[in-house]
Amino acid sequence: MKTRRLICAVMLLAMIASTGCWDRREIENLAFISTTAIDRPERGDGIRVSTQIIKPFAFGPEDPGDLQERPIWLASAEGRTAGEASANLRDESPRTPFWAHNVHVILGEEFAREGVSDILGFFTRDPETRRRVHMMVVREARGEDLLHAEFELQRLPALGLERLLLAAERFIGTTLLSELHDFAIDLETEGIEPIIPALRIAERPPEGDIHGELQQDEIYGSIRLEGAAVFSGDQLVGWIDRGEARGVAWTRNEIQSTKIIIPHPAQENEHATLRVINANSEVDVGLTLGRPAVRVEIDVCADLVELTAPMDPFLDYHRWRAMEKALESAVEEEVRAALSAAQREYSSDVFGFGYHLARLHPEAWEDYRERWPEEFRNLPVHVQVRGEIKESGLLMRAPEVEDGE
Amino acid sequence: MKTGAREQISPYQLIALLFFVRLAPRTLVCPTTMTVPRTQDLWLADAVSAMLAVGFVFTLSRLGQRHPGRSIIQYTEDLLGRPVGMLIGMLLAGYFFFVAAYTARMLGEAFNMSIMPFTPNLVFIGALTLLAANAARSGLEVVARTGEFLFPLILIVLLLLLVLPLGQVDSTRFLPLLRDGLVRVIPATSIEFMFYLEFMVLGLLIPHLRAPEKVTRFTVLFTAANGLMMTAMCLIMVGVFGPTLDALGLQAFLLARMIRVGEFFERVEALLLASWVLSTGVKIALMIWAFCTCLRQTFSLHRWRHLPYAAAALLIACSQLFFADVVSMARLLAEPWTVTSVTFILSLTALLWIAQLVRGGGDTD
Repeated sequence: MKTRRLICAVMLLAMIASTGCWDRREIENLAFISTTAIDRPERGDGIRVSTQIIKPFAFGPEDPGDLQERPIWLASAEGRTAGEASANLRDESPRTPFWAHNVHVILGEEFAREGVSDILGFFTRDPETRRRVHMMVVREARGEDLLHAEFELQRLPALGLERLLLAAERFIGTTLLSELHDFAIDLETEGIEPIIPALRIAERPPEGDIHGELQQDEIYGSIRLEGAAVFSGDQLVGWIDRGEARGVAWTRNEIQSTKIIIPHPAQENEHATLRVINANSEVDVGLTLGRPAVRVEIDVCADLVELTAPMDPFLDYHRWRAMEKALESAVEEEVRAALSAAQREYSSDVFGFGYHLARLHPEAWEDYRERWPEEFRNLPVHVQVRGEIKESGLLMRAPEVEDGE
Repeated sequence: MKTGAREQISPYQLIALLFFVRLAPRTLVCPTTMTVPRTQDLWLADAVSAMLAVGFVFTLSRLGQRHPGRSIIQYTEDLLGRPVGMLIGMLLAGYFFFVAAYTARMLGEAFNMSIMPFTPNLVFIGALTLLAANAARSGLEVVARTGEFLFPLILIVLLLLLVLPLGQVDSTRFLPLLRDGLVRVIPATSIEFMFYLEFMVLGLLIPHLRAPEKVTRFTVLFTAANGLMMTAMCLIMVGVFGPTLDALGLQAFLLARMIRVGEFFERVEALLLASWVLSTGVKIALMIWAFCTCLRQTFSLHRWRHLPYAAAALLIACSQLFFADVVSMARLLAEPWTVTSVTFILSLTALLWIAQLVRGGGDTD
C-alpha cells in the first residue's frame, strides 16, 4: 500500500512537471525568421531590423490554392540597439520572433559603411541566433529593399539565396562566403580584414505578367551576386568585382571549383573553357632586409570543358602545354587585380598577409602592427601559379566543321 | 542494497566515474579561457595540467595501495593521528561538497545560457541533485553501474564533438605559441589542474576496487588518455574559434553548434545537452556519496542513509548562495578556489606521502 501511494505521488508530480516549463514555446506561437536585414532608420539614430518571416500556412500541401499565397511576411522594427529592435518586432507580430532558423544577415550599404560592430553583440550573444548565418552587403540599396526580392525557382527567398551562395562557393568562386563566425574572427584577428559577398537587386521591369507554374504574382526584383564587399575593421570601404573576388579566393585557398576562360591556343579570338577541379594555395611571409615580403604559391588543376575552335592536342601536344601556361596567366592576372584593388584602392588586407606575418614572425609584427595599413599598400607580393590540365572531357579533339563549298 | 566497505566496483567503473568527474568542467561553463592572454596557448594549459595530474594520481594511487581496504580518511588517521584525521576528514567533506555545488551550478547556468533562459536554474539543479542524492543513497555500486552504463554513450558524443568539427579547424590559428612566455599560461594551467584535483575522490574509491593492485596502472593510464582527449578538444576549439575563444561562455556547446555535415547533419548540440545532464548527474551523485562517506568515516557513523538527502538539500541551497551569478562563479573558481583547493589537496597529498615515508618506510611493492 505504501509503495502504491509512493508511485501515485511520483506520477502526480511527473504530470505537473511534464505540462511545461518557464521556457515552453508552442510552435504555433512562433514566427520563424529566415532572413534579416540591418539598416539605419530613415530618421534618427539606432538600428532598423527587417525580417522575412516564414508563413507556414502558405506551404499547405493539400490545397493547391494555398501556393498562391506569398510564403513570407516582411516585418520591420527600430530600436536603439539590435536587441531593442528585435523586441519591437513584437509590436506588429502576433507570434514571437524566433531567430534559430535565421540563415542570412544582410547589411545595407549605408549601415555597413558606418560600421557593423553595433549588431555583432546581439547576433553572437543571444542563444537563439547562430554563428553560422551568412553575412552579406547589398550594393547601393538598403538591406530592407533586398528582402522584397524573390527567386523564380525557389518559393522561399532565404532558401534561394542560400542555394545561390553555396553554388557560388562550390562552382564559381567569384565571391567569398563569410559566416558570422568567420566575420567575427576576422574582426578580432590582427592583420586580416573581413570580406563578405556583395549582392545587388536585379530589377525586373513589371511589363506583362510573369506567371510561373506556381501562379505566383510578378517578381519585380531578384538577387544577383556581385563580387565582394571589402571591409577595413568593421566598416565597409569598397567593392571588388567577380574576377578580383576570385583573385582573393585563390590566395585565401577558398576556391573549390570554378570555370576559367583562356585564349584558344591556336586561333585568335577563340577561347577555351577550363573547369578547375582542385586548387591549393600557400602564403609565406618572409623578411627581406627586415621588411616583409610575401610569396603566394597556387596550384591549379583543371579539366578542359570547351574549345570554340578546332584543335587536336593529340597531334599538337605543345598546345596543351600552352593552355596550361594560359591558365597560370589567367589565375595570376586575377590575383594581381585583387592585390591592386586591395592595396591601392582600399588599403585593406583582406588576404591576411599581416596575419601570416604575426603568426610566423611575431617580433617583426610588433614593429608593423600600428602602421600595417600603410605597409600593406607597398607590400611586395610574388605570385607563382602552377597550372595543370588533366582531362579533356569526352572528346580528344574539338570537332571540325567541314567547309560547305 | 549494500552499503559501506563491502561495496565493490570494477576498474572499468572506476574509470567511468573519473571520466565524468573531469568531463563536466570541460564541457560546461569553464573559467580557464578567461585567464589566457592568447587563446592559442590554451591547449598548453590542458597538456601541462594533465601531466601534473598524472603525477598526482600516481601518488594518490600508491598511497591507497599501501593501505589496502583503507580510505584516505582512515589512513590519514593511521598516519597522522585521530585529531588530524578528523580535521582532514571534515575538510575533505567540505571539498567534495563544494565541488558538487559548483558542478550543479555550472549545469544550471549552462542550461540558462544555452536554451532555457527563463527557467530558474534552481529547477535544473534541484531536480538533478535530488536524483543524484537518491543514487548516492543507494550506494557506490549503483552510482558506479550508472556511470558504467553511460560511459560509452557519452564517450561517443565526445568523440563526435572531437571529430565532426575538424573541417572547421584552421591550423594557422595555433601560432604564434607562447608569445607572452610560459608564465602567462600558469593561471590557466592552475585552473585546469584544480579540476584534475577532483580526482581526490580516488582516495575514497580505491578501497572499493575489486583489483586494488592494478589501481595505479589503470588510473595513470586513464589520466594520461583523458588529458590527451581534453587537450585535443582544446586544440580543436582553438582551431575553430581562434582569437574569439576567450569570449565564449559555453565553448563545447558552441563547438557542437558549428557542426554541419552534408547540409543535413547539424544541431548536434542536443546530444551535448543530454550528455550534460547525464554526466553531471553521475558526478554530483559521486560527490554526494564522497561527502557522506567523509562524514561517516570521520565521525564513525553507523547509520548514514539519511545523509544524502540532507546533503542534497544543503547543496541546492548552497549552489544558489555561493555564487551570485555566472561571472562571480567563474571568478571565484578561477582565483580563490583554485589557490585554496590546489594548496589544500597538494599539501595533504605531500603530507601523507612524507608521513608514509617516515612511518612506513620506502616502497612496499
